Amino acid sequence: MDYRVITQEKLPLFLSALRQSFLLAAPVEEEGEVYFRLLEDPSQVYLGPRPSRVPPKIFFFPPTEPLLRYRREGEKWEVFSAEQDPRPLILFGLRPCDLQSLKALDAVFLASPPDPYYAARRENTLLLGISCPEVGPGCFCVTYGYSPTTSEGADLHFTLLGKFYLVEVLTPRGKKLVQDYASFFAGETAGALEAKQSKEASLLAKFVAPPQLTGVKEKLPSLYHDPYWEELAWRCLGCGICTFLCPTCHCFDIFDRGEEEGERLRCWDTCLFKEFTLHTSGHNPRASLSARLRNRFYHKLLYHYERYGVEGCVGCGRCVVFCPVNIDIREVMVEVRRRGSSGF
Amino acid sequence: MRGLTEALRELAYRLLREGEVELFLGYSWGTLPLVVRPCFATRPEQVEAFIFNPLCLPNLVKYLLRFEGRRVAVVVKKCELPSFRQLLADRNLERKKIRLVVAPCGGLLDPAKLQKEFSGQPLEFIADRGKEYVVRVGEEEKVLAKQLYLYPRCFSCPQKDEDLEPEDIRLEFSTSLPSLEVDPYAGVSYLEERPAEERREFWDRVFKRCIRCYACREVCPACSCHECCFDPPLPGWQRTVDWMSKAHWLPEIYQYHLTRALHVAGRCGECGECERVCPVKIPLMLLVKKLAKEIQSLPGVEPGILASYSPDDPEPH
Ligand code: SF4
Ligand code: SF4
Ligand code: SF4
Ligand code: SF4
Repeated sequence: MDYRVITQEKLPLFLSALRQSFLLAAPVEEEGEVYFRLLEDPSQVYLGPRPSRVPPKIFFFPPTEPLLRYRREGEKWEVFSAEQDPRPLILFGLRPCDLQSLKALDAVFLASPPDPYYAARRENTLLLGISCPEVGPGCFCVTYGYSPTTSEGADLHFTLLGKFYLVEVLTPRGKKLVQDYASFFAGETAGALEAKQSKEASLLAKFVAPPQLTGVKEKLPSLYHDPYWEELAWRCLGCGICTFLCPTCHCFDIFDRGEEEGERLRCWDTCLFKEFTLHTSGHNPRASLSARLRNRFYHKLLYHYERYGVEGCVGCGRCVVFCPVNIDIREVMVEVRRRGSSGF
Repeated sequence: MRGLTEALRELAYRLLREGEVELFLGYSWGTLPLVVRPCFATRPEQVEAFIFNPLCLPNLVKYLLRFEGRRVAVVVKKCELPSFRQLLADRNLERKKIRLVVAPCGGLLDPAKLQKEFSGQPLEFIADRGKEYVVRVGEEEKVLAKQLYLYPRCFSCPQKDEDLEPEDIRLEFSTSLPSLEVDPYAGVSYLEERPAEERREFWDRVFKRCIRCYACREVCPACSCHECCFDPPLPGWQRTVDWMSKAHWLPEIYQYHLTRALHVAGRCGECGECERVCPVKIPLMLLVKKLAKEIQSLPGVEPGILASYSPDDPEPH
């Protein structure tokens, strides 16, 4: 791997320079909360401890996306493909969990045959990661075997060490970027790797009793009919927060908008909504909220792994922090380990 | 304020043990600092989890719908009584089966404001001194001025608990909230006076954030329809053209919010839950307050009047 450093002062200048040739998106504060936005002014980038509320999956799997457009001419229908913005995008400020979450999404959307919309966006986007400055109250990345400084998945990864950032150059595309913008970087990285390691160690020390993964997958099948899910669902609102804000959730619905002329849209959907599994006949295999909530946890903690060999949860903690009634997946994992038994 | 929590647990224990209720609905600490969550007890030994303090934000009355026909006790604050009465009327709930437990509330505190001050540290509430709360943080005692930390909706606290049934219970504890003399429509009036262009920019900006998660609807006691017009009755690919779609685009988002605001107008009890649960902080109360203000400006009309019911209605829902 290749390394560079960039000073804190030069980082916004580097981002400004990138904006000349790329679309650039990064976390910014809007009315006090953090969201990824296309950047107009690179000095606005939010580098503080709070992760973005809405995950960066919106850049690859937007909440609403036209799949095709259509128009009727008398008896004839004309169909056009929906065009994407062809300008290359740089995402700056992805957390290690954001980077990990793309593994889960790639497994779904890039499996053969790949989803052309997702694949095109993924291809057209450079990922600039950043190590977390703090461990948040809902975070449990360590449960999944990585840390608040893990750079895996990024093209370039930034870790603040005192007054400069260590920059890990992880891919050929990342390498090209530091070469094209060489004037912002220095090659002298003495002591930086050690400094990153000790930063990682001090962040890891801040996790208080993160949930254990051992046994969760093995024990879940035995709990399918456990009354636990119903009791948990008493409290659940059945809203879309935990799934829409989850960086790995990827369900959608497809419908048309416009009668004589319009577009076919793909739009976020969630297993927590009651019409999610509604059949044409009127039958609903997941008619109760407890069945729907159970499905969410089985999908996050078991099904996704069974199907793709990749974890369906990355421990980002968004569902933990933003659930209005504090349904906490970490607590669910603890309960599953306590109540369940392995095998049938 | 440990005494209040103790009294609540004793009450819940007695009601459950003597079989007066099948379910006691209250609050317990959650898994994150300063977060309190709804808590359900069906057996006397579960009551140890219950607490009551100024962080008990959720309005629990809508949960009653899930237990229709069962005997339930539910902890309420004064400001939630209007939403309770509306729910009772809208859904013709059996009042006899419901025991309200009115908690003495001296004003809720805003966790976001506290978080800034005491990030991560647990608080213990010691006393309510009217204008301030005394809390313990670690080893230290601190005084929190309500003026600074109060939860927004508490600035317009109704301060009354009328229309209780004899079986309902008022928990006794010394709490008080001095009258704060805040105009509940100040935010609305401010916005009304802005030029139209500025208002549009404001609403466009906040609504653009909406992720259509419907948490605002799910939590709302006035949104109790069995079937909501925004829940498609058919799978997407069978609906042909969708005129009430879930697209996350501004026209659709406006359609959702304006429809919802009009559906709850006159029935909204202003409990503020929609705004509390919104994950992207959309100031939804501005919309419902605007409608409440309009309704109040009509001569001889009180909020609630747009939905009146006959108790003898053969088709109550
Ligand atoms: S778990 Fe929480 S966020 Fe998820 S649907 Fe239930 S109430 Fe909403
Ligand atoms: S399930 Fe929750 S913690 Fe896991 S990735 Fe999704 S939002 Fe993050
Ligand atoms: S938005 Fe309207 S239709 Fe939907 S539940 Fe609320 S009141 Fe009913
Ligand atoms: S809770 Fe907020 S984000 Fe969710 S639908 Fe309501 S306004 Fe939109």
